[in-house]
Amino acid sequence: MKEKKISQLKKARKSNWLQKEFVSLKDEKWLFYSSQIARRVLAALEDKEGMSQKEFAESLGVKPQYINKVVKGSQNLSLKTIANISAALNFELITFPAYKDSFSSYLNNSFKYVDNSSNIDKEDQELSKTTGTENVNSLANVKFNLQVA
Amino acid sequence: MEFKCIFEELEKRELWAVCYPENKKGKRKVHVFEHLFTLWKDTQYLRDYFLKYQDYLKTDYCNHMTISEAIDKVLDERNSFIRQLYAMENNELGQGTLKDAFKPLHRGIYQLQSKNQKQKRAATKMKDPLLRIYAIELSDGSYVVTGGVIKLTEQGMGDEFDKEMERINRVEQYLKSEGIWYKEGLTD
Repeated sequence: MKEKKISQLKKARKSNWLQKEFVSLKDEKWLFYSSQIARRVLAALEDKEGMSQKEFAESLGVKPQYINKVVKGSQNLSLKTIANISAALNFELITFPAYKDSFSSYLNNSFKYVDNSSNIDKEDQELSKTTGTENVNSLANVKFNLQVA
Repeated sequence: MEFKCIFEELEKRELWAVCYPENKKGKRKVHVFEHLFTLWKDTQYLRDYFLKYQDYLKTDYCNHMTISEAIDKVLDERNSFIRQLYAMENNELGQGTLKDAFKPLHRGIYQLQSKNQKQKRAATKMKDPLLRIYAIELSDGSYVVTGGVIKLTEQGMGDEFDKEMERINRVEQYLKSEGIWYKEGLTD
């Protein structure tokens, strides 16, 4: 028999699956968060004497398909939904880092992280030429803290 | 049996994936890559899997990972595979070729190994990869992916390994019947 190539087979087609998957990686971070929530919902349901996903959906007033997406980790959950699920499970799904109650405490703490101009962007550098370094450092520190707070 | 071309290298070597009739999304047949990579991001599936085999996680091979760590490791490895394949498709420097990516196992069977270092969350717990993708090499240097497993023992778990070997034989027989030569076939 003469050798054939796989592309010559009738049922051989091109797929754009890889491109789609690669694009979806931009959502990697929230998919990771979703997975973290999903595994906690599953564990909490088991603790509730094996409450089924259907029963849980009914208690929340949503369709079972929605809960199925939640436990697969493929649902982009709103904060309101997370809060509703937490309340229904009587279990906090997300927690928050300690809150610092004054804005100046953020500023003061930020000085140890800021290495002179390394965190100052171009716009701030331009500003430094006209207003002096002190103000610019403050601007840079505020930005940094807003990112990490 | 149907096949989908995932991408073609500059050297005209191609990466193919089998569409098994049993793997469907609604009415649409999905190829084995899509099937596996959908399962490997499904938290419920992964949690159930690791609950079923949690004794394996407690071994030295798995470095006593928790179920949650194992799920993180699968998610990381799956995403690394996608990055690696995409980089290969786009001929990014240093990503190597299909030949570099597929490590021979035995009897003409190959394993796709991840070289992407962006496995951050659980990478320090267990050094060996959890995900293994099986392929056969064709006479023109192309690869056909036949399946994959989550590997929790050094040798691979008996039942799952046997199932994968059965699939490889099934694909080999089909290719042979269609006049497509694979590496093992050439050495017969």
